Amino acid sequence: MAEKAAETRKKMLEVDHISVHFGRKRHPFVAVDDVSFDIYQGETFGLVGESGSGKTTIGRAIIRANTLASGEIRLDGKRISGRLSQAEDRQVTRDVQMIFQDPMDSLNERAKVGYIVAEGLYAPGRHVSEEERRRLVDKALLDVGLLPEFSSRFPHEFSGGQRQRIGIARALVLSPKFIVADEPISALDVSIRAQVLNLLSALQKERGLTYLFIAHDLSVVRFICDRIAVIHKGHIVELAESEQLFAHPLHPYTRALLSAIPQPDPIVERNKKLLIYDPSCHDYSVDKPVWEEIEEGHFILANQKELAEYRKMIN
Amino acid sequence: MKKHTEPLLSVRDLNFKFTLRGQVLHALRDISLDVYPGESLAIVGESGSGKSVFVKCLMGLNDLNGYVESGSIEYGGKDLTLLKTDSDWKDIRGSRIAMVLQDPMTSLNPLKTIGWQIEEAVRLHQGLKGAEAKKAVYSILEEVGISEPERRAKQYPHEFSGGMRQRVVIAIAMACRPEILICDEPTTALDVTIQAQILGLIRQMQKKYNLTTIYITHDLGVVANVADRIAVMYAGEIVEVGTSDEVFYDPRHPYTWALLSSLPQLGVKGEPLYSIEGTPPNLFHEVKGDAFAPRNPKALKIDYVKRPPMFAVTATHSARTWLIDPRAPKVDPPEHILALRERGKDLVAKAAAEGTALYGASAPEEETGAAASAAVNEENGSAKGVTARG
Amino acid sequence: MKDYVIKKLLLGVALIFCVSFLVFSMIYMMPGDPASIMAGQLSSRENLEAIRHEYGFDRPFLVQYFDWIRKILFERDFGISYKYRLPVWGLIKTRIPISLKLTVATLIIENLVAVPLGLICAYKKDSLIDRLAVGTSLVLTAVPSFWLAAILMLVFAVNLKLVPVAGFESWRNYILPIVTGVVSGLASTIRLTKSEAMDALREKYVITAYAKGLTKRGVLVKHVLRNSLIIIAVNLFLQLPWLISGYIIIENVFGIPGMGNLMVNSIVEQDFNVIQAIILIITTLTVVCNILSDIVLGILDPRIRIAVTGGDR
Repeated sequence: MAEKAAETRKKMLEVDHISVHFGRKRHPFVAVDDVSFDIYQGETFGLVGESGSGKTTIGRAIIRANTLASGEIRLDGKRISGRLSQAEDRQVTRDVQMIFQDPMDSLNERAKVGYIVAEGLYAPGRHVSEEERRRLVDKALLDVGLLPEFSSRFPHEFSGGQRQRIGIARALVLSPKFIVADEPISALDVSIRAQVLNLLSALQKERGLTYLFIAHDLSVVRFICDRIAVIHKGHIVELAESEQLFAHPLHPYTRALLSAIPQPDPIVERNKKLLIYDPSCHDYSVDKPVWEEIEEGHFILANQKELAEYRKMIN
Repeated sequence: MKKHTEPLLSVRDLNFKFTLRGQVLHALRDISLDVYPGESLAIVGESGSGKSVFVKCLMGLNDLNGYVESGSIEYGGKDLTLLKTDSDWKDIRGSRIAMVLQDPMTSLNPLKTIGWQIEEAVRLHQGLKGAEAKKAVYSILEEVGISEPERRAKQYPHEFSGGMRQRVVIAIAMACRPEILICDEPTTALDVTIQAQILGLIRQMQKKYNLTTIYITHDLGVVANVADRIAVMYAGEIVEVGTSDEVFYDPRHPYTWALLSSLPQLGVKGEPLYSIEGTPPNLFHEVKGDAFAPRNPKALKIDYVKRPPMFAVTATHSARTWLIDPRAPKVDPPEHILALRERGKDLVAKAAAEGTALYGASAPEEETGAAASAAVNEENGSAKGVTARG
Repeated sequence: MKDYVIKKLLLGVALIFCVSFLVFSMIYMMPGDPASIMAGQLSSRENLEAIRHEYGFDRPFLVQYFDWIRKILFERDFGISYKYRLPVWGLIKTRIPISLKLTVATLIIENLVAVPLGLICAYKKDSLIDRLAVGTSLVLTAVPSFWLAAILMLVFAVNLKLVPVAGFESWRNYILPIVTGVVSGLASTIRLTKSEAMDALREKYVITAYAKGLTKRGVLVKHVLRNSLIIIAVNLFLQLPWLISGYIIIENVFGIPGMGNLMVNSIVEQDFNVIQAIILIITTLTVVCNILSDIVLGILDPRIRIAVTGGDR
């Protein structure tokens, strides 16, 4: 799978054949099944799927909230999954932060904004003076477009968009390298979504951040992501650069997802053909599916027969 | 296109207020809107725009601290604003107007089987009992795309996926045999592929039973798919109303421009997305002038002073902005809107040529005060007319 | 469902054993020597040793514990009361029905009063009825029950002579104790019912029900009541053990020879076998009530029922 571009770009996060199981040992529910992908430094990597596809589980595995049944996750070449030393654990917490979906639920209602943002700084093993802490919080608030005065207020005094900014400030205060953004805008109003998307892009440019952007809305992902992985029932079925994916969607599930995106354009909508994905269209009984790079940077989960068909479709 | 003369439901100058801890929230400000038989009307707005309050007015479902201050809702020879008690509403709620609520996860009673919940509506509105009612339930379930209805009817809501529950909610609404179906954000909680299926189902029901549907949504993508006509709401008022083509391809209100431009579908990669700064006004305070002016970088001076009336663009299209006043300076909409306008040029022209009445449009408000109109000509900065009046 | 009940029962049995062990060891470690209580203050050392040996107090702790348990389980022998020199079970046996009658009657009356009141308060929130019911019940709950018992006794038994002052022979003896018990539990049940019903009223499915065209009464009865009753039914079972312990004092004031009365006397007399037995019975009752409430919850709430049975998928 030697990819020319990959050699020149630095791998930031490697997700290496990970599986996540829930429930009983004997009859586990396999939420994520043997998933692998790499995220390069400075890029925004989109993970798209429907509810129950395992996309959030992967995000939570990266921030170490879910344990892996198998596989490994590496950040800058160093393993960050499984058992870590205390020092390593703290370093990972600092380097990898998460932005959550619902700005109404993810902030502690009883804490002041200043504390919420600074909370990560209170972690053991990190000695920050009170003065320094205040400076960092003020800067984080300013960076996300809020005023430092807001530190003394409570979350309920803010609108949804402002709360999401507070959530972003909380993630930023530790100066992470990598941010997992789990549906950061899907709970927001349309006019606020654009503000938050712009903020995320601006922060990425300024600080060279790398994002894993988890979403169910392909139109948003297309706008903000460099590469997109489509996940269905715990398997990644297709991965490609965004424009490539939109131009040549190959996997029937990807095609169904693309066909369902609502377009703000009545002409397009009137002529739209909705594709429905039926997993039984794959015959994997004998010819097992493999994860294959079908064209440069474009990976797909398919068996040999399907690969032959997909190759025809590209050319 | 269909031609209608008589509206089915007609809202005139509706003002609705809530009292909350001694303060008064002006939730709906002078809403006038007609709903025509068989059409599908979409009401678009952000949270707090009053769109949910508005449709709840049609069913008398607002909280008890809310009240109609003035205006009327004419429907079936009655003024719905005068209905007070349950028995007043009996002929309307459920029987003529039914509703599909937003989140299917919470809009079904978790302790009752779905069969029971549908049967409740069947008994009330179709007058069936016993085995007949059961049979009706099964046929409705099948109709909304739930297979094995006899087995599924015995199950509880938590045994259904989100999309399936929304089908059940639709089944309940259809069991009422309504004339008007209100869909309050019917797909926001659902995955995109499911969303498309649910919208398809609603449309299918609409055709089959000749329903009039009113959608409430914040998602302009959904709107393009389902609506014949669109009303855009902001801060408790309708700022623009027109056919779907008119609103998408020839929007006139700056808020509609902004809403459309901020969609990521229309964004250009690597460039910042058009975004509306600030937040909607607080409706606990009386709004002065154009409610959107503080968030509109190209607002006119008069926007801060005098509330614009509804100006007619065509017989079917009107917008509440001073920009349409003949004396207003020319303000160009954002690029995305120009691009959209280019795409839909033919459609809009055709609609204009078809002329006067696709739908019997509501007459625009006539009044424009002399001093106010003088000020229309002034862009931000010099405002003789305004100061003269103020 | 069967697996669920069996699991709960097994857990309950384990819990009762743990508690019995704690109770036994606590009393074992307490100051005060049962042998000297039985022998009297001035008994000789030889006499004490003889009594210790006779009752087995000189054996190791664990041996004593298992012996105690064995006798309870197989011979229904809770030992001998040091004070009365009678089998403990005989003492308790006559008192359990009295205490149970009292508590169950209280429970039923309290819920019959409080649940409808709570529902009305929820439906007519902030109305006069709501404020009156919540306010009064709160004030009444704040009143200590022994004081209330004394006042009630003074007014109705001593001054007005409407009911007898003490005793347990006629049903009229139970009126005042039950009133005292009902009053002290009223506020919490009203508040629980009210908050449950208000939560249910705020649910989206209530709007769905209204949108269907149901009348207010239909919505309240078919959708709100049933859903809030689940918690109330569960609460009913959980209240029982509390009430029994609450009656320890009330029984004493009214001189009703229930378990509470016996317990207080036994504590004063350091009659360890009786104390152990009563604590064991009350904890067993608590555990049983908890299991029952879990089962009731499982029956009433399909979400739990299906979670435990695996449902039909």
